[in-house]
Amino acid sequence: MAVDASKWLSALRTKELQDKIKTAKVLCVGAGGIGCELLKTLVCTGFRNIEVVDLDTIEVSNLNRQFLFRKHHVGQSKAIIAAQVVKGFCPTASITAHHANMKESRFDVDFFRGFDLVLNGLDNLEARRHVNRLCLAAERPLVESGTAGYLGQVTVHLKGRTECFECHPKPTPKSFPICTLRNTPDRPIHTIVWAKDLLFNRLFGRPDAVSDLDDQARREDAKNASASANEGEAGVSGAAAVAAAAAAASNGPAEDPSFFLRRDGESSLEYAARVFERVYTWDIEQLCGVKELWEKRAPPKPIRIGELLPDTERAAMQAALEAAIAKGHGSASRALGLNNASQKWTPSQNAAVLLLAIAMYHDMRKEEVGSASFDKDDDLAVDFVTAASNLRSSCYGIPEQSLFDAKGMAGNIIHAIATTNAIISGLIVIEALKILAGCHDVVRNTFLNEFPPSKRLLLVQNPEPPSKTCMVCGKVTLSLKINTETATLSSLLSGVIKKRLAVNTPNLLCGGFLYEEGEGLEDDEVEAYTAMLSRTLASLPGGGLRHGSILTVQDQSQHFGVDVIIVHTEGLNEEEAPEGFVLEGDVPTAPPQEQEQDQHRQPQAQVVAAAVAAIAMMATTTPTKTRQTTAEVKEEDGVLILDEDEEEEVQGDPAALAATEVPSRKRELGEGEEVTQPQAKRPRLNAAVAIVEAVDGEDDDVILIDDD
Amino acid sequence: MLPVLDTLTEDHAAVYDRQLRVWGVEVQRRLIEAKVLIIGLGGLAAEIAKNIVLAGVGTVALVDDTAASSAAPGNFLVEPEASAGKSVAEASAVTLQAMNPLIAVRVERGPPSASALLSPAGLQPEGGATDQVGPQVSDSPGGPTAEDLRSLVSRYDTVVACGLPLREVAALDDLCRQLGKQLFAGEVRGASSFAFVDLGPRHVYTVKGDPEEKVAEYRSFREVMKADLKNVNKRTHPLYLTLRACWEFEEAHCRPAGGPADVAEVQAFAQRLTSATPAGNTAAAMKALIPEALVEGFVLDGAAVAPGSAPDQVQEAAQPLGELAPVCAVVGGAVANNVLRAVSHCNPPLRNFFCYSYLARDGLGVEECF
Repeated sequence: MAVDASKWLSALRTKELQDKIKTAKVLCVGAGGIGCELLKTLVCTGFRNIEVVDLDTIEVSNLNRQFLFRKHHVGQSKAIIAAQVVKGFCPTASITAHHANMKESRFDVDFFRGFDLVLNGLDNLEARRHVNRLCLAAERPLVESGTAGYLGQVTVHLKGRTECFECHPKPTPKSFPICTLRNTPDRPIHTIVWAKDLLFNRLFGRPDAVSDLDDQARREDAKNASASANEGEAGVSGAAAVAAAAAAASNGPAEDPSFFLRRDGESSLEYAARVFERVYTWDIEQLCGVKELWEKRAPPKPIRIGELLPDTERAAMQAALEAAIAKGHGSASRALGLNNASQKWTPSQNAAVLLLAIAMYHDMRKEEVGSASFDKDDDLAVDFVTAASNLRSSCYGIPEQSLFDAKGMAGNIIHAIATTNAIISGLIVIEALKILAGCHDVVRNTFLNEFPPSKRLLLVQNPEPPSKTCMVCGKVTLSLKINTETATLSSLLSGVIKKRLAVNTPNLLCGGFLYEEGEGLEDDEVEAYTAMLSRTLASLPGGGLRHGSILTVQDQSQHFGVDVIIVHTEGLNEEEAPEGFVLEGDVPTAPPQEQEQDQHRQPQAQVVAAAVAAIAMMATTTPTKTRQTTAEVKEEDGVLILDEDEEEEVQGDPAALAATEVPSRKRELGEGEEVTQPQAKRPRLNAAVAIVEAVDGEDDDVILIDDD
Repeated sequence: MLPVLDTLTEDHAAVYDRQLRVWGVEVQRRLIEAKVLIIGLGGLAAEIAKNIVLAGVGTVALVDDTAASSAAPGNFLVEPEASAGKSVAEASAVTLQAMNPLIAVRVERGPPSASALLSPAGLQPEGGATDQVGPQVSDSPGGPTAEDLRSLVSRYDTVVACGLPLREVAALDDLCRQLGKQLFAGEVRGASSFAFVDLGPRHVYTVKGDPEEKVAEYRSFREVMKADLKNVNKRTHPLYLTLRACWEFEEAHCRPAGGPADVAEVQAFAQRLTSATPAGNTAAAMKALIPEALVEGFVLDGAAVAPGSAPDQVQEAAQPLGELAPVCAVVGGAVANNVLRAVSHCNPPLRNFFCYSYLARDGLGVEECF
């Protein structure tokens, strides 16, 4: 370590490193918030050979931080414009832009091998994991990063030396049980998700989007019912009774989807009023009748349209609708003069916006009805969701939301500022320089906080060594040259899997393709698998095993696992491939390490793990993590502050750190909240942070899960 | 597009959407009202300028008469092909204005310097040369006078000065204190960087969610350079003592330390300072307090190459690195966050030093208060 440390001190003064900077090939994954800053910092540092990949196009809400983009660029490719603008201030830089998805097969292992460094500025977990695996397979260093608000982090992943991005499982995104959404919401997010995923789709979306949810609800009900049967007569199954009653309440004529279709001769506002009465009056009354639901909570109160909008105002609505059509208004709230997005609407205003939004959809965007999907940049959709969720909230006594806040929650908008991305870009490049200088012992993971308790804005930590039990980097990766058009699954199994890898009972997995052998399989499974044997690799289910596919081979009985990257190769000759394939890489000989090794991990590792895990939280954003109340943001932004009773620098020897007692108290840090320091012992901030420049607030749908 | 947020226009609401979710409408409105003057547009200042322009500070003015063709390599705001005949400030202003058309970007005439504030008596630089703008400007009849600078500063709320010699920082800070203006001063030298903040004797601010006003007291740059050394301990970032050593050098020679010839003398100042601290009584402790490589780098990598050291005689190892871009990005981000806090009077700004060097403490970024 000492050698690398002193080498690093003077490395930048050496011609050797300066030359490497000029010639190094760098892959920048992402040209968004972090990507723009990173491209700038790279060329200003002297890097000249850069390729950048980004799938996204530029939006207005990017312009407050993605400083390479101008208003007239809106709608164009981020990667292409970023490359163009950077060349404007650095004409000597060569920047190749790919307006593409990183997961396309052309960005295969060979593509990654063409780079000296891979730098991530991504906004979603899926792509991060993909890049992580390709970097491991191609044996290329990865510097990974993420930001959210004032928080950010940079981590370094060197195969065989430091943890890979997936050494620790990422928390799964939070989801809501359907029955909470349908029957017993108690937080603003519940009514927003209900308005966006249930009511919006019911009125404007594809019919199957709703029926999927209906199916799921029925499964929940069935499950609850069977649970009660198992409990026998002694158990008065509250859950089952509730489920059955609620199902009866909501699945009666109510769930007949045709009710929500507009009828012949019905005006759009009459239709809207009928929907209103059904959803906020009838449905709520039915639910109130399910007494079991309200034993421990207050029942909702139905609302009536006549009370919120007297007939006189209903007439005014018709005028507002005609004016909106005449002027081509895109927004129902603005058509009603509700111009302050941060001001909450009154119940009457919510009702007016809801009716007008439904009517505008039908009168102005008729062709979309039946196929629309919620888009946070669609003003009318945001109006609808805000009003619909607020009305439901008022039934349930849940605080209502302003348009601005409802939009943030419904659209999974992650807040983002330029400064954090700038700082993170600098830290990424510093780690990149260390790697380029060959000073692997001095690479660090760095965490950025808003109000660090010990005045340390930047916190550094030694990266942990790879987890021996990691399913991704703990596993050996092999590459298999084979003709996927001619080789069959049967020949792959006999020649490669069983013979060369000595796997006994293989379990093969690749995307939508699964093949299993061994005991415990059903007859029909065995039959289905046997039928696959004669198919060529390329024609297997789930898109086939093709060039770039990563096939996971496991054998539970052997505690064995390996990833095989398929390299489609035609014309393999007899000499180099007598068996019809070439398997490259370190073919494993010993089974991987046993589980208990993990228990000896140092506490410090857990700190890092928690922080890195937070990345994932942010990466797969669901509305749960958007703003609700300040108190909730703390938890849901995945921001963890871990206190440690530890005085020495974190940079110390991991072994020494392991000996330090770490109480590992977790506290959530809220936005703007200053961390109070415990009196008794000197705390040192330890990181943690969350991550993701989820720049554009991915519109990932909420995952709806079962309740029990 | 969203309807108007209070007094913000629709354009503001659409462009600032993501940051409104971070700091809210009230802070955004205060930012729109703020006027910030930036003196000296090297790599660090370019980062700060970009960050506060994107944030929506309503008026940002730039001072740097240097020809755009001689712009600092780290100033990514200057587009070489579009900048012929322009000054650095003019060329940078074009880019910044395009970056955020909702604010006003202005150019103010003048060199990237506050040398006009230095009293003429006894401060003539050695050998007739100092930083690149030095005596030519202050001596020339057309150059800005102390009065010009006073009138310039008085038109803004906050001054950000980058890359100035430490004596000019001190003089500018005196002026800002007199006029009741906020000062941020900073510099990147190779791998190391500091930022100094003076928001005056009484900076009032609130913290989000708490209506009660809070007060932070700041000390002047001169006071901070004379602060009692008993507060320096092994946890103090070594850049603080490094900076004080450079300050003492500058006081003694009336020019900033820069280049290989000055290293030994600054090291000597540093050692004297270190031995006056409670922790610096052993050689080992001294090294820990102020690593030689850090001082050496800081002196060698001064943005301005010290005059008189002919480049061809300088060893490769002694070539100044100037402002390293990643360091500019890190410190420029940290400074800009605090400019935004200072002008919006929301949340406690940095008090009163930010020190960062990837050569010290593994790259820990620390706030120090003296």
